[in-house]
Amino acid sequence: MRVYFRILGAHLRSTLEYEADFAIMVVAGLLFQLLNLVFLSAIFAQVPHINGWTYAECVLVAGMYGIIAGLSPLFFEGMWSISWRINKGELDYPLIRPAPVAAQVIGSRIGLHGVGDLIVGGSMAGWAVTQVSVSWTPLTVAIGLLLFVSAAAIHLSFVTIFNLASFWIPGPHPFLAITMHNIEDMVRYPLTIYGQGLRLAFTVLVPFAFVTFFPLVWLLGKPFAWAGLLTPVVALWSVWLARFTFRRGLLRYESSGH
Amino acid sequence: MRAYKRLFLISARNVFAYRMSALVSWIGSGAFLIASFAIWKALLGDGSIGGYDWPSMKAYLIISWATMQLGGAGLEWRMADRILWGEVATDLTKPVDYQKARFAEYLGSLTLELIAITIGVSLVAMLTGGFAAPKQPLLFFASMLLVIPLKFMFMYLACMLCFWTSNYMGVAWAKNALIMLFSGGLIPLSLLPTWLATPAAVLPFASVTAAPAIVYLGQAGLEVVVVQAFWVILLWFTARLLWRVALRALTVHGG
Repeated sequence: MRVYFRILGAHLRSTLEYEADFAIMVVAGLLFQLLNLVFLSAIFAQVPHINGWTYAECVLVAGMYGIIAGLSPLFFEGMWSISWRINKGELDYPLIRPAPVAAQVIGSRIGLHGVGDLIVGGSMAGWAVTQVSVSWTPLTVAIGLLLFVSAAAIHLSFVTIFNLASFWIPGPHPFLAITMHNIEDMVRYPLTIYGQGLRLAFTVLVPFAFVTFFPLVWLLGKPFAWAGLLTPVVALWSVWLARFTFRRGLLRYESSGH
Repeated sequence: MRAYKRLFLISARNVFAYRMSALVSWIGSGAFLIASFAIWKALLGDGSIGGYDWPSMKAYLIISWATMQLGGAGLEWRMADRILWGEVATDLTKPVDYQKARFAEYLGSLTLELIAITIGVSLVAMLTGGFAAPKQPLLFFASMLLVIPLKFMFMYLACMLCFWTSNYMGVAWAKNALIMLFSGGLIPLSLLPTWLATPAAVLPFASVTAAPAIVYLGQAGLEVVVVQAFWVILLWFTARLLWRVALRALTVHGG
């Protein structure tokens, strides 16, 4: 853990050297999150709710997704580099250093557009939380936080898992991970708008539904609220799967010829 | 002219070499399209919002998807990388006009893309039970044709910013976000709040998505297509001007 933050800190400093790039990345992150807000505001100017979800509730979904999606560029950006590391045989270096490989790989980059995601996502979620009708007790807050951390863990685990697929799929680009990331973007809306097949796939096949939808269903007391309480279990399973995949992947790793 | 034709052909073949990244971008935008369809279906039901009912909204969404996909074959990243890494220096020694050469490559990359877009649109039409027919087919066709050079100009101008930055990712995202918002790709411009609809009306972005869509739906006519043509010409010459400034900012390491 300490090694990870040391590496990450070093990369943060080196990234900040390029001030213009830093500014552009943060602005780009801000803009994309703001688009979601503009879209929701524009449609809710016309209708009072979608499938029983009010404006504030939809903003909460989008905001929570913004925060969680912003965590991965800030803390897990290095994962996106693993496909070319495998491809070029660059994984040799982390493997022979006396520190966990995962910490070295994951901390090897930092994506500052995550700052933009966090700012806008955080503001959206922060505002929405004060607007939705939830009876706050210490217990609600505690469970809410647990569900949020679990949801973030699920997201980060699956970013890891799909990038690790590069151990089995040759090529220098993490195509599967990019595709799945685009698909995960669909959970920025309440899942009820999608057809049954898609909802089932997002629950059972790849648990993206637990990244925003089910935790918030529990918080807001909507139908299937109990399913939200499964989030920590799903999170444990995801983290285990990510670690397992990492170990199996490293066993498969063949360096490029020297 | 022969040189440009070669570039066109090479670029057309290049798309096959980068087929995986093309496929990924297709699946990604497919997911976006499903999300758009789902949320609008939930919103509209059997009613209508801002003059759009479900059949016309379907047409709007598919046109906006097609115009977003157009020119996404990864050419912009190759151009940006060549500037960032300084390889543009070798392009400068070639006896072709830089802007026209890139345009020829862009057109080449479109060949496969246009086929793919046609298939995509037909598939969506089949799966969602068809959508409203074009109100002005000829004018719509002309409008779509003008989208091709317009998308090139946005890409080309954004790439040129690489002369001043050391990374293209942020520029590309900021550009895509701006296009998304002000082109009508996010939501029809008539549904935007005034403080956003006003800049959208004077910016060139509306010409890439809103223009063909509203011509298709018969909400506007020839005037929109004239505005599109105006932007193509203006941006083409702005790019030439910027290019001259940019060359002075060019840094190439090593020799």
